[in-house]
Amino acid sequence: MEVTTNSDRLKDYRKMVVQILLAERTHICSVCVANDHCELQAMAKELGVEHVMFERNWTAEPVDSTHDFLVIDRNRCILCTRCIRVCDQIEGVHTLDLKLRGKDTEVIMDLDEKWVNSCSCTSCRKCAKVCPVGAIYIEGEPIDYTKHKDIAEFVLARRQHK
Amino acid sequence: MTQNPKVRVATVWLSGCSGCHMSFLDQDERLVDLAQKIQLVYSPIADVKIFPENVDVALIEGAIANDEQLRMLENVRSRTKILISLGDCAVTGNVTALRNSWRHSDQEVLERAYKEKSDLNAAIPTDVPKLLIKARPLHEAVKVDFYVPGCPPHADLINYVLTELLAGRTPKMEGKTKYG
Repeated sequence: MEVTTNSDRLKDYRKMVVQILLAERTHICSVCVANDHCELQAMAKELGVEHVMFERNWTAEPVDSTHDFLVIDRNRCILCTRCIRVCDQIEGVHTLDLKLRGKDTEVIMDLDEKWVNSCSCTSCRKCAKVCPVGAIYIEGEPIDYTKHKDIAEFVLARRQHK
Repeated sequence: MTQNPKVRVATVWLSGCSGCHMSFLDQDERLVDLAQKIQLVYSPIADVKIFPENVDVALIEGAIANDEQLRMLENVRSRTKILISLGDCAVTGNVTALRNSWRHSDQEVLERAYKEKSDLNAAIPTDVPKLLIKARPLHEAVKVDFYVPGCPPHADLINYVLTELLAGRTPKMEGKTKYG
């Protein structure tokens, strides 16, 4: 069997998906903390998504900056759930999870508490490290430091030793 | 393109910070080569009052934020062959569209700027063009032929797009453009 993973048709589909992700919430690269260190932005560049054909939603989702240094801006979230999985499977506390469905889906802490009131969060920063966009970030820390590439090897190593 | 030996180019400044025009000027000495081939018929840096007829290429910076700009854009479209969205504001809305998250952003943004934040003679100005409810990227109002995103787009990229178009080729944007 021959599997094609890259063709013009597939590229069109990928471009479409990136455009839908960009239109779904409020992604404004020039004012984003993760500008130049964002996987969505890099994917748009790689695929040549030079404009979004859909009308944007311009969401006003809640931003939670109550934690000492961790901030979540849900307008930038693409709901990849990497933060939820790293919180559950690597840190082992499962502070983060999703609430609601469809376009209303949001990442929450514990039972939808403010982050500062979350009693299970260990402030380990792994959620900020794995966030592909600028949705969870560490206040006052350069994003290239937060998203240091070693994290992938570190996560892999922890998985294998488990 | 026309009987005229030089290609007629216009640049327009809508709701943007003029950074894209700065980036256009950042082509530096390449502007001298460009000037051999193009004629700048309308621009904020060339004191022309009325947008001329028969423009070949128009580079437009900035989003549409008020009704005057919308009329201007429609006027430009009707007189231009190739219309290019220059920069993130023209392509996505960008900073100009930050107000869009408010439901009635045209009113709320004026209340905030001219009433809440004002400690003297607080009043919303009335003798200026009316804000649109939401700031829009250009392609939501008119047909756009090419997009050059970036905040601002790099001078090399602007130069690449212009030289490709002048040579009669279609610029390929994969891996070259990025938002922000």
